[in-house]
Amino acid sequence: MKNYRNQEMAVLENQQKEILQQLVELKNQMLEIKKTLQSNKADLGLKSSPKKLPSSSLKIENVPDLIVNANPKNPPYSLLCIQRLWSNIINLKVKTYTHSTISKITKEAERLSSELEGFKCTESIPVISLRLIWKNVGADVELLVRHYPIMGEVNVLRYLSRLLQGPFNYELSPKCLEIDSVLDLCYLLLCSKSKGERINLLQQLDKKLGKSGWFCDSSSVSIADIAAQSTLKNIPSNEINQNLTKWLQKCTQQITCKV
Amino acid sequence: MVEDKPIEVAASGDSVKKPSKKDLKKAEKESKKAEKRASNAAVKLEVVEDDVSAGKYGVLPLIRSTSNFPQRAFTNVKDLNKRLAGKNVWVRARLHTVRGRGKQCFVVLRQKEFTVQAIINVSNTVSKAMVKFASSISKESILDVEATVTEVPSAVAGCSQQDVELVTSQLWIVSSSLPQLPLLIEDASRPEKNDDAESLSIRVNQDTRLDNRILDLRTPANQAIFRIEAGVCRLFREILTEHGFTEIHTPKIISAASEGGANVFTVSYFKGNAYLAQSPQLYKQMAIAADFEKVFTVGAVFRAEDSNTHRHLTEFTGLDLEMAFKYHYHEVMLFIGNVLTGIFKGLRDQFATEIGMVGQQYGMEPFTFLEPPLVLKYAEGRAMLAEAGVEIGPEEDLNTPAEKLLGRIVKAKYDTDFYILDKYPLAVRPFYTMPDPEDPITSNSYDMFMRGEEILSGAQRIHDPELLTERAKHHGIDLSKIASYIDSFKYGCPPHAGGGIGLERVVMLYLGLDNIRKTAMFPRDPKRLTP
Repeated sequence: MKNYRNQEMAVLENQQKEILQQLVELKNQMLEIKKTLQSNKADLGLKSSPKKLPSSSLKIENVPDLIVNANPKNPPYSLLCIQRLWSNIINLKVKTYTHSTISKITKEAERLSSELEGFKCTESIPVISLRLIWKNVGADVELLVRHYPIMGEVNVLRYLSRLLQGPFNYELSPKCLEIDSVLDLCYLLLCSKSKGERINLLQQLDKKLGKSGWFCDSSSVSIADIAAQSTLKNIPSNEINQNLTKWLQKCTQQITCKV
Repeated sequence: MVEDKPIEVAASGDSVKKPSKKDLKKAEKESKKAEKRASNAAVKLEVVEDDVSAGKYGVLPLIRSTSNFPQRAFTNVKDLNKRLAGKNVWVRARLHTVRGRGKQCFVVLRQKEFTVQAIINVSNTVSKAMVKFASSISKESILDVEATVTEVPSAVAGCSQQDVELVTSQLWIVSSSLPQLPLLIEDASRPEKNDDAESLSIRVNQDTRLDNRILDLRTPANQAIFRIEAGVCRLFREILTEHGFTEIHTPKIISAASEGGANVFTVSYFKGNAYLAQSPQLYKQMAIAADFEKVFTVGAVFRAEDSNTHRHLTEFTGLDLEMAFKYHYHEVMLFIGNVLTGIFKGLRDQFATEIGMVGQQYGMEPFTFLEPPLVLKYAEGRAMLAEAGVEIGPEEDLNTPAEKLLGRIVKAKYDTDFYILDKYPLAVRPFYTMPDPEDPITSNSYDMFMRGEEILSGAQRIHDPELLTERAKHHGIDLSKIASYIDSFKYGCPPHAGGGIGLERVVMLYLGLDNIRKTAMFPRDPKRLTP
């Protein structure tokens, strides 16, 4: 009886080995296919840009058309940062509209519109098209992807960073929590009603920046900087301290030099 | 004196038990008798008694523009407010409602959509006879009233002028109405949807309204609708004139059917027959061939379609434009889109009160739009529909339910009630539509939508006689019938495109009304030729 069982086990083990073998082969085949596909992609001109990241790190197929509703009193400057700073990876094509609930848009919104629409990306990189609609919404920016809106500029940034994967997904960074807390501060700043509330939040934000060049001790502009600079541009400039003002200038420079 | 016709009202909801015809007639007779008695009494009182108000009230002789007439400054009802308190004013208005109570009489005067309360109290200058006379005036009569504007402690409910009332000193009938009205203005102006369960549920049905259109048109909502309609027409003219367009007038009696051939009215024309134009298109195009570059026309358009729907009329007002362009028909398409957006903006900014008045009765969602207008490709529209589970073939036209659904999807996504759908399949467009040089399936044509209903269909027209002939043959059209049309392009013609909208339909959709008959002053449909 015992013998019989052992024999059965042996047969099973053999079968398992075979299956595993087949799986390895299948995996190799898949890798092969993937390689050829990637080289094909590269041939299509994707390699031409020297700053290009390996295309495997970018998955921006099937990105739906993005619709962003924003109040012209609170322009989402972060869109401009994304468009300029990520211009070697994605081509963010923006078309702006004014909704009928707005009879006249602010000068700031008008300027942002023309800057966003006027940006021409020459490189043949994946295109994401975004429709920015100036609308009588609250201070929160709304992003419509499917049927439910994503509310708040920082949450729109979070969504975009996840969408683009790879180096832009701040969630892969070891400073993820730090960045998240800066984003939350920005969100609270835009929601704040009183000056006292804002001053308190600005102090916390200032602490996060400290003496370092960029937020969260980063060596270059991160999503935290993008969110913070848009937020600071939306609050009265006399409430911002020297340290943050200096940083804001540097940030703006970084973006304008990309124009 | 009045033809025997019971008051026609449609009671919606739980209708009250209708009195029998006999009862109605009886009641009518009695009310007539009472009226006669009242008017006789009024006249008698004037003659017999020593009346302190004599010469302060009565029926004015028919105004025939005699050489000696009183020099009076009249105040409009809409201008009556606190600032005029204590002032003596003359008002010419209709009697909207009247309520007599022994020694006093409450009257609501109406001028256009504005109403004000007037009171006639027995006093040492106002006699009982005058109050009685006021109580007996039939509704809708036109009155000349002299009164003192008086501030009221609490707002007058149900009147547009809420902070004042008129204390009447003179009251004259300028033109009296028959006492029996086929419909009551009050009933006809009642909001369609009312949350207040206690309010009356009497509504006037569409046919009663249309049969008695002059009364129906006196409601605030109708006053507003036709002012808005005039606004659309004026804005269309203004915007286009500003952009260098020339207004042209095209013949309405034509020798051959302009499009297709069906759906035209035949009229006898001396010894032969002629047709009523179903579109000014050929003439607009001829004006382009004659170097007018940018033209528009506003005029009646006739369609002999036996369709009894909420959005078809057999005669409507067409606002059409045609425009030469340089290299791409999008120059024209986007221009038309901007013209319409301009009209919507004009309505939003200049007609807010009127839109509010229509809203009060019909309670619609405000019209939303984007500036510049949203442009979607036909293929994108199909993809959006497919996502929602409605498959439309690449060479198939959108049917009405699909159009409505797409309208809803676009509204949910972009929150706009107006959008343009570009690049329609060539197969579903008329023969003179320019095919897309880059895709054999599509054409250089576009439709524009308001609240999911098509309002404009336009395209780049073929301006080359050879290509036009070829396309006509492909559609199996008898070339001899369109020879003169093709001939117009033989002596050179600039590339051009255009489109046209139906005034009534645009107003209906802008206001979110459910029937085009509401926006046609005297609508014509297969079943209605009068009034």
